[in-house]
Amino acid sequence: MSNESTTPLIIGKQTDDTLTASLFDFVWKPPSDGFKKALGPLMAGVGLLGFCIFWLELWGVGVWGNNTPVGWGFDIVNFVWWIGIGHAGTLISAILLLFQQKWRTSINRAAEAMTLFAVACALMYPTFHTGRPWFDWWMLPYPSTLGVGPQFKSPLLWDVFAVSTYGTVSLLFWYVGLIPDLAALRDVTKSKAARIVYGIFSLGWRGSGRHWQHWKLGYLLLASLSTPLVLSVHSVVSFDFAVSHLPGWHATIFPPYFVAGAVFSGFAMVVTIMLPASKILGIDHVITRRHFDNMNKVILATGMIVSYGYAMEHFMAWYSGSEYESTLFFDTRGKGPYMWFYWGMLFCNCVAPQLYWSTKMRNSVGVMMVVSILVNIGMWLERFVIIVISLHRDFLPSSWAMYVPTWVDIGMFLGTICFFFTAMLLFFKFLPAVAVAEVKEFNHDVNLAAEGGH
Amino acid sequence: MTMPNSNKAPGFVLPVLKEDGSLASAARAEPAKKTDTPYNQSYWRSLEAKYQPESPVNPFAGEFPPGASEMDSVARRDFVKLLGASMGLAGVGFGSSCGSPPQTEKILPYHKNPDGLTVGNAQHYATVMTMGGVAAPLLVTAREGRPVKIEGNPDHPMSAGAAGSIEQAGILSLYDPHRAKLVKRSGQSAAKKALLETIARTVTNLAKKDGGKGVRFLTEPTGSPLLAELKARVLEKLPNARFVSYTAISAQNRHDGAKLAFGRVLEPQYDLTRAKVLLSLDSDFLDAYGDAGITKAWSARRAPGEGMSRHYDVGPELGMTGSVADHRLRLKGSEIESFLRALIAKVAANKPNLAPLGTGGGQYGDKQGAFLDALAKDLLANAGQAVVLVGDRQSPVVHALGYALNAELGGIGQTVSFIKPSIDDTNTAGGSLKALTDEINAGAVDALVVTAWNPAYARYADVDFGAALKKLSESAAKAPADTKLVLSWGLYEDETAAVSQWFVPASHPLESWGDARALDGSVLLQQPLVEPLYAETMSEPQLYAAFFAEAEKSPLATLKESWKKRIGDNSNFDSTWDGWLRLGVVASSAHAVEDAAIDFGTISQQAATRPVDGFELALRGDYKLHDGRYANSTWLLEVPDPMTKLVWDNAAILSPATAKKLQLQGTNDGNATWYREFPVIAVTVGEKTLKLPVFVLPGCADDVVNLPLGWGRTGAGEKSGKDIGVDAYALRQSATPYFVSARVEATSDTYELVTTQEHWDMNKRDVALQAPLSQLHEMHEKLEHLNGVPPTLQQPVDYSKVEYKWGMAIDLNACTGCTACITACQAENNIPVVGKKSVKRNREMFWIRVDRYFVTDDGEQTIDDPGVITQPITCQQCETAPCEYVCPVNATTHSDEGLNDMVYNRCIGTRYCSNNCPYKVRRFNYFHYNGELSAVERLGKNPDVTVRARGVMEKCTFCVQRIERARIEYRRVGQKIPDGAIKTACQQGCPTGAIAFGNLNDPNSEVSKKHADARRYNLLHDLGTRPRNAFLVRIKNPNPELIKS
Repeated sequence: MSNESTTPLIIGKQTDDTLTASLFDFVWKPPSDGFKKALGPLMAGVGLLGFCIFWLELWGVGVWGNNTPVGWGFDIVNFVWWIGIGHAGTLISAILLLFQQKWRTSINRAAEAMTLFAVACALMYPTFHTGRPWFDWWMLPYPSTLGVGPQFKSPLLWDVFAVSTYGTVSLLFWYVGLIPDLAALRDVTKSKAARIVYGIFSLGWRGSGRHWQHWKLGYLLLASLSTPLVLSVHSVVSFDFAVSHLPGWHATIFPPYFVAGAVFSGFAMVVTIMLPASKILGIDHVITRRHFDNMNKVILATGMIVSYGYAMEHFMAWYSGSEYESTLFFDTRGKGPYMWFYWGMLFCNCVAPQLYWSTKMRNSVGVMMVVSILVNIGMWLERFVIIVISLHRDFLPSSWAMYVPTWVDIGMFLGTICFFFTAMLLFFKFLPAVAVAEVKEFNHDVNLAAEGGH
Repeated sequence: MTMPNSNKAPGFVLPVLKEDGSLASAARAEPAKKTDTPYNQSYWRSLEAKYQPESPVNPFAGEFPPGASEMDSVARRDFVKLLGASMGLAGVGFGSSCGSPPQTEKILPYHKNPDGLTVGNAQHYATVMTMGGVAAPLLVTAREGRPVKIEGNPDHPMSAGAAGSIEQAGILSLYDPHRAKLVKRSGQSAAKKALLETIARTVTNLAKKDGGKGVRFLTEPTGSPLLAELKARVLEKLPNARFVSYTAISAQNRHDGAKLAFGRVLEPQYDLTRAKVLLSLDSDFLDAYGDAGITKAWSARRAPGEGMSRHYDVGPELGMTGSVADHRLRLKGSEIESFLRALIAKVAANKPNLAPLGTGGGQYGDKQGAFLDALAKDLLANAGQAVVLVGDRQSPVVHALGYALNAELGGIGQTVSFIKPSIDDTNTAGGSLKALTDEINAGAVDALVVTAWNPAYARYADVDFGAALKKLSESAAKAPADTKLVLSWGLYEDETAAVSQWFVPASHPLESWGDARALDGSVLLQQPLVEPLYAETMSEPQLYAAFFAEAEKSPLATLKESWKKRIGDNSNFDSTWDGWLRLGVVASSAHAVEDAAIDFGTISQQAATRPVDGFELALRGDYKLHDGRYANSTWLLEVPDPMTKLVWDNAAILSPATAKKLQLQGTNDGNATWYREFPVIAVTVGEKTLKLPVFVLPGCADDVVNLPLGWGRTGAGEKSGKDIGVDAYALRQSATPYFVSARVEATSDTYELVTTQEHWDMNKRDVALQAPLSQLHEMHEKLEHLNGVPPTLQQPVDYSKVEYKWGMAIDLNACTGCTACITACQAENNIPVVGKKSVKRNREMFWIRVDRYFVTDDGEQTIDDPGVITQPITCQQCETAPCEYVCPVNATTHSDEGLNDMVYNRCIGTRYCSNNCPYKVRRFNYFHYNGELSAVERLGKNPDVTVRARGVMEKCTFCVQRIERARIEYRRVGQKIPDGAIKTACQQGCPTGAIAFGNLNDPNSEVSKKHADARRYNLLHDLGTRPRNAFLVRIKNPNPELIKS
């Protein structure tokens, strides 16, 4: 990477010892007041999530605002949103690893954790949104005595495979990456219980040359496995829409446009979380402005792709000559009852990231915080625009209707957000937020380079 | 729920079907606790006994009759009868797609099948139900002893096999858990025997006193020969008693008009198959209870082609009839007379008889004048084939004028003929209620028996019958024993029951023996489909019989004896009787056509009345609740109004210009908002003010507040319909019951109305199509883009080789939007009612819906005067169904005959199929809508159709259960299913035959012919879904003179 930014990727002269001390520090420290204060309300939010799911299962999907024609509302909006957020983790871990982008090393761990938790949040929606979730397993291709299997033409079934694969591989990748650090935690801890727990999960890691060799190879293999998933998962999710024939859904541009959107929102979420977290955790010497600068560039680039996607959708709506498409894109979206969702989406996703053309803006904490949150909101709005606006006015005007979410919809959405942040907090507390071993390796390279090298 | 007797099957109660209405089995009940009256002691069964006397009715037991839960107290013979019901219920229980397991209950087969019954097969019985004196000939389907579906009697011309929503909803009221079950005295439960003895003693006392001079019976209008005879027998006991007829929406104007015109009361019978030009003057004749025949005849003459009739409609509100007319003129209801006189003046040029009637008409210019000129010309040009229909809301004079015009146009004997009325006493309107109220207030009434429907509610602002009745009841309660009696009789404990000393629960028409006269005078026999579900109930004949101490006599014996006497005892009576019963009608009993000569002199002496100045309040019967008597029917509350599509409410219906004039904000004309708050207006008539939510309906006359009666019920018994909508009777004046001058003001209030369809811009989509008759020959070319094989990469499945390729055709030209198909489907397919809140969230469950669109063009159809088109939409059964490939679990698949099947058992409820359905005909069970049904409500479910549980998608199946039934039947005899052997429920309910169903591989089938029609098109053809249903373009026959060139 050329040195456009003046900030280095590791600040100050660091040694293995200083890195061990500073990067594991938060794990050993007793929970701070801020941590406790944050955890309380977040756990309450998780409780709300649990109650909403209980309520949903008690009465049926009717406790949500879904209706006919809007069969999918907050459930699938949030599903797609969360799946999208997860994408940054996989992209950073896998693709940037393969491309040997060194700057990924200090943010990949947190980004991967984010992926996992986001996928967990996402999965709650399709699991519980079915009318009879106790029969969800019928979507699995098991040898059924009923003589019926799943229907392989359905994109929902593809979703099952895509998302479950994605979740599994992400978990493995994250865990494999953690092993050396878990061993380090085991070795450094003074608590017996922690030693046992970390010991079990570090799988007998001794840091021998063979361990490192196998680990490197395995990690690289998993990275290669994950790479297609970055593209496939959100492509498959986009098929849920593209394969149908609803105006606003039925578009060939959806797979790339969805993937770009997912990376866009994922990076925005990494920035939203890591900006304060790097400060609080005391790891801003390894997660520096340079990292954020790079991520902001990715946000700008993917934001442009997303904008191009919007433009193409509108162009195709006009070019196709389809009355349904043109009504949706030129009437319903911009002038219909949900017009503010549409205009908000355009502002957040197309206009806001344009600030990042400026280096100064890319490095301003305030701007970064605002823009990354706007992008997250914008991408949520995009899913709402695609799903709800398309559904609420389809082919026959007699079926058109409004969609209004209920408290259970909103409660469940807030609940998953709380679940996500609770999981992130616990992750930060019990595991190193940075891939320490990788950073040490990178630091070694940096130090060598500074000494003039060999 | 706790049952008093713990050794019963838990949670599930079978109603007791009693054999003869006696209380014999009550003797087996547990010892009762002491109660007030000596009679109660021995007759209370355990259920009541347990809760007596603290609470008269166990609030939890409300759904079950006395003894309902006591299996061991049921006589052995009764027990055997119950088996039928339990068998059927087992079908419901086992068939349910998931969820609750079958009830643990012993199920035994019949030891020997009752006559004519094969378990699993349906039985059909002809019978009749009446409403306000009009009888509807019906054919009722029963399954294992339970009536489950009402259809029109195909052997009677007034029905021709079709029945409206109201008639069909009779099934629901039979099993309505809110029905009255107990005899009440001053609000407390009382024994039926005590009532009968009280009646007997009171009759004796009053007969002795003055021959019953103070005895009044307030009844529904009726022409029933049986009731006439029973009334005569009552009068033998009480020679000075009087019977008074009353119904809130009466035909008296029509009858009085005939009296004016002909000197005697006659009933017009229209033959619209002979009408080339017809004018409906404030006449919604297409909404006719018990007379699907007129709709059928109208429709027959609307067939596009040479003989197609031209229909003009004039009236204050856009109703069903106005919506299908070729031309419509919006006029206040009170202006119809002026218009008719002006029309007569135009027509009367060479008709000296008619000329004097044309004086005093209004002056019409511009558009209205052109309408009048063209109409007059058209009527004259088609003399002998022209007919004018005047609505029952119009004064007798308007009716007389209409009859005169018909006569002068050569219509009598052609398009209209006159017969004797089908009811005995034609004084049925407010006048009779007013006179009776005055009598009560004057203290002239000792005993009053009310069998007319709910006059305490169906009242007038100036005739407070309820208050008078209350006073009378109070004085009767205080009077010495058995000298006074106030009694009301009805299906529900309604407003009238609340102020009556005694209340007698009525047996449902499907539980009763009786007879009634249809509009054509023919006598229809009423035979019960089931023993009364509740032992205490009485039918109307039984109640009258109580006045000469024959209440306990078998009602069938009474009926048969009456007819035996009437036709003279002949040896073949039983076989004659059986023949009548089978067809449901007494052979050749229809009234003969009378000679009717107009008395022009009398009519010409009638002064012309002027229309109302300013705002007019126009009251009418509701399409769904009529005068309010169906307010507890959830089917009817939820079925969308044909024009407004409102559910669970009534509203003031205003024209857009009127709403603008009142400066109402947020009305429904325009784009929807997030929250559908409708403005509220205050309407004042005299001293009374009502606040009414406003619904704007284009096509209504300006300065008119159209308001349906029958809502805002407060009757304690009718829980589903309680406090829904606004009670328009509060503003009704007995002198001007339909059109009255009113003060109207906007208010700042809002109210949430719920419709199943908003007003949206259709963006010129080819959805519901209509064309003028002149374009009929171009239809083929014009519809080319909506027909043919859509281009595709896939090789489509070839269905031409299979034996049956089921298809449907819906002729928009014949659809009036009446909603009979919706109710028919609801009854046949066990479709649940979801309630206002759920409809607000667009979760109504109808498998067939009737979309209503407005049409405006550059010509005469404007926003104020739009065309209207209604379009029934069922599952289109696409051959390449978009719903199928998106289902992840194969829950919706194609049958080899090309039907799109829905496997409820397999459905996990992702709703993807619904999202991908371009017609949005799939309906999702967002809640367990069927889960809250009481045991008695479950009896009404069709055992052939799965009752769906929560979380499952459902949709129209083309009545696959009927297809399979026919398949079994014809396979048994080794034949192919012939055309017409299968009728879908919607097809059967449709009075105009707009829906055709059959085998598309049979080129001679009706549906194949319709699919080959030039007017045929596919809905959303360009999507390539290859729907099996085809629509036929609606054809309008406008007068060329009225079309702007």
